[in-house]
Amino acid sequence: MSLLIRMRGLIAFALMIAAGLGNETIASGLIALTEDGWHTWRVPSVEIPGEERIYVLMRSGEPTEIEVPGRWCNTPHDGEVIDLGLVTTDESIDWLQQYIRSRSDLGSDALAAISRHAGDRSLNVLIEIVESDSDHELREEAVFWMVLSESDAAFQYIDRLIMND
Amino acid sequence: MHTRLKLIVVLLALITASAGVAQSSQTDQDKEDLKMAALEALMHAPSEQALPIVIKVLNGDNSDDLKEGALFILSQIDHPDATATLLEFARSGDGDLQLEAIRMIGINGENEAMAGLIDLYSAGDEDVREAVLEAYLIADDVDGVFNIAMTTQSEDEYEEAVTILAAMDAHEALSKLREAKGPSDALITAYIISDNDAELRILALDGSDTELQIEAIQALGIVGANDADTVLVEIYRSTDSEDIKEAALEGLLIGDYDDSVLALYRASNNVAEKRDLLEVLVVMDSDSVMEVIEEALAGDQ
Repeated sequence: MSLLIRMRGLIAFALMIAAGLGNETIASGLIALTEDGWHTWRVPSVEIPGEERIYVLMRSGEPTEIEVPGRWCNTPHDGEVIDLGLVTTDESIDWLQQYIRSRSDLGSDALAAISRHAGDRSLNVLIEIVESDSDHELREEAVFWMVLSESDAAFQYIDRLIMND
Repeated sequence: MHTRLKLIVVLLALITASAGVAQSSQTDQDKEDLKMAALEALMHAPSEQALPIVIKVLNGDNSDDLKEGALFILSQIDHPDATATLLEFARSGDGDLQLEAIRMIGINGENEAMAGLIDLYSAGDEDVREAVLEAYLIADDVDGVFNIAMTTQSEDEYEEAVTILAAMDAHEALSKLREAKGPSDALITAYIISDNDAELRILALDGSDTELQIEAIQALGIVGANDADTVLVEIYRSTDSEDIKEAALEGLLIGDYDDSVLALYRASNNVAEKRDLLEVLVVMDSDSVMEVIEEALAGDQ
């Protein structure tokens, strides 16, 4: 088989995978989230099936507000929003994780947002904070948001945390 | 040299050990704080997920603080199992946990659990009875406390129930108690606490028990209702009893009604009485004292 044919095969295979993901491609580029104003992206939700929409207000290259509308807060505003579409769980958590130690409410809001992501990663991030972070307040925040994620895995962990010495 | 070296090694070991103990107790406290934070967060969780964990905490080998926290979380969960567990601990819990469970029933306020409090009161010791009264107070259950006040044979328990009713501003219940059980020190104190001048007027004018009447007259001055001075002056003028007069004057003094005392002074033709009234005005530091003295020196009065 010639190299050209093998290349064509690989391209066709890649196109098939892309088609399997649906019409929407997963966005990338949260790291470059520098433009001022409100941004939003979607991630698979801890409440399966479902999605969470995360809102971030950027000012001078830094986030000043992080919101996840739902049970605990409303959509932060109805003005112009830069929509980044669907983002991978890893990319979203990586970005949010940078701000969990921020002063004021931003750190707590970042933890709250992380707790709303589907999959093991979000719980693991919270568990790592609970078990090894030196900031006691942050550990308590992580426990709080873990409970509020209402995932079975989170409750199993809380059960062990409370009952184990 | 060898001995000094040994000494240094021993000292270093001691310092390391004490640092270790301090660190360990800090770690224990951290663990306890985290457990408490998790428990508090469970208040916001769905009851079917929170309840099993909270009940496990109560039945497990945890600290009393954590268990008391768990009882509070139970009081906040709207689920029959939460109420049943609270009642179970209120009936058979140990020491402080039992008392806390009783108080938490008051915070929860659920009818079935509240109805179980009276049996706990009847069967309980002094601490349990006090906790039951507190639960009624927390739940603002006037009928529960009134029922105890009406049925108890113990003077101390009656006084305690009456004081709780006063803290609840349960005017109607306190009036009913006077009608049913007659006036008492406890009721007068309760009327003072609950600012109930209407009941105090009734007792201040009731001459069936002089001692209680005197207390009520003085209490009227303490409560200081708008026209309490009119009542006190009326009592002062209408009685032949020196004790009642003195009590009315004390009421006027306590209520700082110097205008009324001045009016009594000016209306009196009795030198001894005028002297007593002037003394009261002096004690009250009334502005009219100088005026009265000048009048007396001028022979006007």
